[in-house]
Order: sequence, then C-alpha cells, then structure tokens
Amino acid sequence: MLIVSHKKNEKNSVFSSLFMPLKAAWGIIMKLLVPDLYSYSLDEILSVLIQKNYSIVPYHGKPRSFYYDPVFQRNMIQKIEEQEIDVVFSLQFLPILSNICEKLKIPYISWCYNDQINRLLLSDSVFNSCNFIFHTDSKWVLKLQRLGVKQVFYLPWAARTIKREQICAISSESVMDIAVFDTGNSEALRLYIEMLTRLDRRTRGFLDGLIQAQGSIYGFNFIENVLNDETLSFLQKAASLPVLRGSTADMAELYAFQILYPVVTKKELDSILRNLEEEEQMHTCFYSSCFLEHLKHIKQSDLPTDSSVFRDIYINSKINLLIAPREIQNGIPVQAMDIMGCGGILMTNFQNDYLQYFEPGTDYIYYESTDDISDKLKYYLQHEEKRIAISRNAFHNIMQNHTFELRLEEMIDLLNLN
Amino acid sequence: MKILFFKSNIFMQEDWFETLKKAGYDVDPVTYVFTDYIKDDFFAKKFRKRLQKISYDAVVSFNFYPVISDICREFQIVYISWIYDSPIPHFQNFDSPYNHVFHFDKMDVQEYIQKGYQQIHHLPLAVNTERLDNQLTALTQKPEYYHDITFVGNLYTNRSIQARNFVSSDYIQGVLQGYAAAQSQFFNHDIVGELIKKSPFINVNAFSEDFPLEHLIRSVHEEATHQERKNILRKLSQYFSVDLYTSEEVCDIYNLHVHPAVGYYTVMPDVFRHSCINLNINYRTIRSGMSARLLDIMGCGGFLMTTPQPELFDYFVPDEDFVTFTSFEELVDKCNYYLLHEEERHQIAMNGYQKVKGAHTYEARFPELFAFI
Repeated sequence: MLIVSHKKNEKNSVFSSLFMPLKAAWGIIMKLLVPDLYSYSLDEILSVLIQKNYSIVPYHGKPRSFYYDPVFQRNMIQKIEEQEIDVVFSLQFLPILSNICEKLKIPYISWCYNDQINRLLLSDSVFNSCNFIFHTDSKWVLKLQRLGVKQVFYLPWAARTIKREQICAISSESVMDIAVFDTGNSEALRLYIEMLTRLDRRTRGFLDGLIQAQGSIYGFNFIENVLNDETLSFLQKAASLPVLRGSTADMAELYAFQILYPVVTKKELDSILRNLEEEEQMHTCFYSSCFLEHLKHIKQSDLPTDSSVFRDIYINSKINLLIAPREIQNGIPVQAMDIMGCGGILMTNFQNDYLQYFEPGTDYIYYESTDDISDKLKYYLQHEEKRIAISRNAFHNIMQNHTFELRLEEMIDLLNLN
Repeated sequence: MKILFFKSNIFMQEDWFETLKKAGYDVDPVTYVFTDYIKDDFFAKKFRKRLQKISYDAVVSFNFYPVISDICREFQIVYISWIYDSPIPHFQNFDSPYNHVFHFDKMDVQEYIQKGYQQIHHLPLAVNTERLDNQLTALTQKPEYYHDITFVGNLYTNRSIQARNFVSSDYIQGVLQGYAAAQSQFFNHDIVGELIKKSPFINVNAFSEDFPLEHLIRSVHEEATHQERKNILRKLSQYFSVDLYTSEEVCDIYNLHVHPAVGYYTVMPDVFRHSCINLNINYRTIRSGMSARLLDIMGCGGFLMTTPQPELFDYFVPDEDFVTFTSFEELVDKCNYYLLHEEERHQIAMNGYQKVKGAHTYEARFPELFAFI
C-alpha cells in the first residue's frame, strides 16, 4: 500500500559518511579466532580469508548466555592467549565476545545480518572500543551511530561463488513455478496469541490495528515508536519479556522486535499463501518446518538444511518468493543474495537497501502489497524472456560486485588490515 | 464600504475587526453565539431587523453560518466568510450566489470546487502584527527567554476515540487507535482511509448517511493528533524542559511543566516571544493549510519548530523562516541544536517575523477578501 523509499542522494550521503577508513595500524600478522556460534556462509568467508593469508583458529563452544558466562569467558581467554590471537571475528555481534576482547584489548570484528539475535546490539557492550561492527541493514548502522557507536559500518551480505554452468536453464527445465520460503517465527506467533488472551479488548484491538497498518507499509518500521508506557504496561502484565543484564533495549523495542514484527511477517506470509492457494494454474511449493493443514493446492516441503539443496531450489524454481522478516527495515536479506547469486529469480517485499545495488525489474522484482503479488507472479510466469534476463542480470551483478571475496576486501579496506 | 461584522466566540475576530476599522472601513459589529447553526428564529428576526434598518455592502464573519447565509441571500447582500476550521463546520446552504467563502486549506478548497462549489477561494489566515509590535519589544533585540521549549494548545483528549465513544466496541476502538498510532508516523500521506476500507475488523458497509465513513476517518485523524501531541510532549520532556500551556487537565511528568491556558491577546504573544523554541504539532484534519498558530508564532517573533504542513512551504523557507521535523529523533536533534545555537535561532525567528509582517497581515488579505464587492 505504501512504500517509504529513501532518495538515492540522501542514502549516498549516509553511505559516504559510513565508509571512513580507520586509523588502526595493526601490522600484517593476522591470526583470527573465529567462533562458529553463527555460521551462515562462514565456510566461504573463512576460505576467502585463508586465501588472503589470514590464519584462522576455529573456536567451538557455546556460552550459556550471550552476555555473561564466566566459564566460557575463561576458556576463550585462555585460547586467545595461548594461540596469540590478534583479532576475534564472528558472525553476529555477541556481547560476551566483545567484553572478552575489550578486556584483552584486541579488536573484535562482527558482521551482522538479519536475525533475531540482532537485539544483542542493544547492549552496553556495543560501546566497547574494541568493536568493529559491520551490518547488512543500513538502518541498524544509523541507529547505532545515533546511539554514539563510532566503529559501525554498513556492509551488505554477499553471495557464494557459483559457476555459470551450474545454473540450469531457468525456464523450461524448472520444476516449480513458485518457491515460497517460510521466514516466519512460530515462537513469536505463539507468544502473541498467548499474550492476546491476557490482554483487555481495547489493547488487543490496538495491536491488531497496528499490525495491519505496519503490514501495509514497506520501507519504514514504526511499531516501537508508538508503543507508549500505558500500552507497554499492559503488554508486560500479559507476557513479560526478560530484560537481560547488559541490554539497553527499551521495552518498546523488545516487544516490537521479539513479538510484533514477527507477527507482521507471519500475517503477510499467510495472506500471500491464501492468495496463491486460489491460483490453481500456478504450481507453488512452500518450504517450511511447519505443515499447514489448510493448504490443499500448494505443495509443501521441509525447509532444507543444506545450502546446496537450497541452491537447487533457487535454480529450479521459476520465481523465488522471499518475504523478508519485518524486523529488517532497510537491509537485503542474506537469502536474497543467495537466490540472485544462483541466477534465481527473486521476488520480494520492498527494502530500501536493494536500491543501492540492484535495479528493480532488472535484477529482481519487488511487490508493493500482498494484493498485487498474484498479478506480478502471473506476469513474470508468462514472460519467460523477462525472467531469463533478470536471472542473467542478477547473476552478473552478483559476480561483479557481491561475492564474498569482493565484500571481504571492502571490509579489510575499511579496517586497514592491508 | 459599509460592513456588518458578525462576531461569535472566535478568538481571532477582534484582530480582523480592528484592522478593518484602522483601514478605514465602516464596520458595525453584531455579536451572537448560536446554539443551532441551521435554524435560529430569534437571531434571524434580530438580524433581519438590522439589515432592514441599515444598508450594508457586505456581511463578514469568521467561519460560515447557514442562518446568516440564508438571510443575506434574502436581502441580496454579499456574505463573506473566512474559514479557519477543517473540515468546514456546519456546512449547509452553501450555494447562494451572494456567498463568498475563503478557506485557509487549499486541499479543502479543491475538493469543494470539484463538488461544484464555485464561490470558494483559497486564502491563508493572517496576523495583526501592528498589535503585536505594540505589545512586544522590538525584535531587533534578542529577547530574554523564560522557557526552553513551549507548546501552547490542546491535547484533544476530548476528541480521542475513547472519549467520544461513538463506537461501542472496545475492541474496535482499539483497532482505530492502532490505525491512528500508525497515521501519527506519517506526514502528507493519509493511510487511515485505506486501512479502514481494507480492514478485516471493520464492516465498511455498516456506515450510513447518519454516520458516513468520512466521519470515522476524520475521527481517527483527530485521535492521531491526540496521540501524537501526548506522546511527543511526554517523550520530549524526558530530554528537555518543556512547558505546556493548555486548558486540559494534564499532570506534570518528567520535565513537563503544565500551565493553564493563556489569553490570545494578552499573554500568548509573550509566551511565544520568550520561548527559545515554540513547538507546533499540526492538527491532523488540516491537510495542507497553515493554522493560525503557525502564523501567530512567527508573527510574535517566536522561533517555530513544527511538523510539516504543505502550505507552509509555499510561503516560507524551511531552516530560514522556521524549522520542521518528521520524526521524534529529528525533533530531539534539532531541539538540541537550536537550544545551543542562539544566534541562528534568533535569525530564523526574525526572518519568519519579517515575512509574516510583509505578506500575512489582515491588511494584506483585504484586496482578496473584498474583491467581489
């Protein structure tokens, strides 16, 4: 219904201010300790770093809390000292790692992508001087800068390198018309439903109205802005969310990010599936860990765990419909990069950061509302030549500009590690 | 030109009346407060007697009164009404050839013209800068400041969805409050209409002539104003000292200091002049026009910090004559900045004042107002 898009020159001025090289001069010895707590595409990232002559020391082990675990802390410090580690590198920002690095006065580099765990960025640890935080969502970068975090940079995700010959012809050999991926959060929906049973009717209506409104708006998240003290007090009584030690998130942010935005995503997905269920001419497969009884026409399949299986789906579907979780305000989801990197056709909800690097209608497609999805899908299913063009354009764009090798070079440039 | 000036309980009317007299117009006042704007036999009898006794070229009033319009039509006298409310209150029997309606909101005017009403014209409101100049010290001297951030106005608690209670279901009231909360995040774009029409919670077919859909949409906008003003002032007072002058009962909270309402002619100019920042949060049903408050603040030499209003940009330059904000974060940043940068702030206030004095006085409006006589 409404898309809030940033003007390109406004965004450029934001981004140009983000790419300020650091003054750190750490020399050329780089031994990286890499915990594998979050590992999406970590193997590819490490492979690139190894090619660039960085020494990688993996670290296995999970803390009991991402904020504080003295045993984990002690063990990691010991490893860092024994191995003479120069830098700790992780996917996602984890306060416990930041605190360790701050204590040892070594840099902590984190590359954050869309995930519920981003809430850990709202913690005191984010102000540690050892941090170099990279985030795939420009809105998060602006938010952290506003809070006073100095060393935070926008860095979109990248795609795995794939050989052109691995990509099958997108059109005639495709098995499925549309692949839809479940990006929802069932736990959040469960919490929401439970919460509603304990709320008064007015507050229930308020949340339902607010969720409907946010669902119709793309490019601007506002739920946390409008949860006032009175509403929050009702929410806390109905479903208390733990406020973790060290967290600086305010209650509005906690409820918005942990419950309400995931509910917006889930409702959007449900609405789209309902529309697609009626389109019997379209062959749709829904990939999810939950089986939906009410879907009769749409095929359902488990969400793969292997990236190569995902790749096959992207390549073998005429259109890949990705509904980005609503907690992502501007960022390009990691899965979107994977889809385009395989030469898959990506159709997704509007996100501002795409416009920096990709051309809508040329590299990917976005929908403006759940109402116009069916028409857009039909159009692109009928126009094979347009799909082929989008596939080629996206793949070419990714290979030229968005591989992990290129992205890590950007990161390194920013960090002055060369 | 002999003018009969109708006065009611409208705060700006004395300024219009006095400036007409000073400009040499032969103006007679008549004062009345309607209880029924459509039919009032007592008033009609008195008014007719007046018009029979004295020959007037025109009758003028702020806002539009159907009873006056009917009688002016009967007597074939031009009736000039200058409207400062949006939507136009008690809008009936509008299409007399003797009516000339001036409305401060361009979007409203365009809509009425599209509906077929030809005698409605766009005209922004005005300020009596001469009175204010006499009342206040010259703006060339930097004023002494009593307040950091001031808001003069209502929170419109009485116009909230809950207070009005025209929707009986608590749940639906909550849904509408949710829509209003969302609307409060957007400027220059109405999302309420679409939300209601596509709502899975509200039966749009249930609306009737007695309670049209437009009425509900308007009410949600009023709720948005109420929420916006309440939330902004409350949150802002966690960062700054904020003074609120209002007729409503509001408790002091954080650093929000509540004062009783102030007189338009007496204390209000001083409040505007002696506040570092005068906050304006537009009333949401006014879609494009400049409210009286915007011009009052600038006409008093006050520094104006406001939510954006389209017509403000037609006549004034942002960051030169006034400052605008579109999010709470931006408001905080700009308050921080302008509280520290006194020179710049004073310059902006002076610029705004000079523009109002140059082009937005009552005298400046007279040629258009009386063009049809």
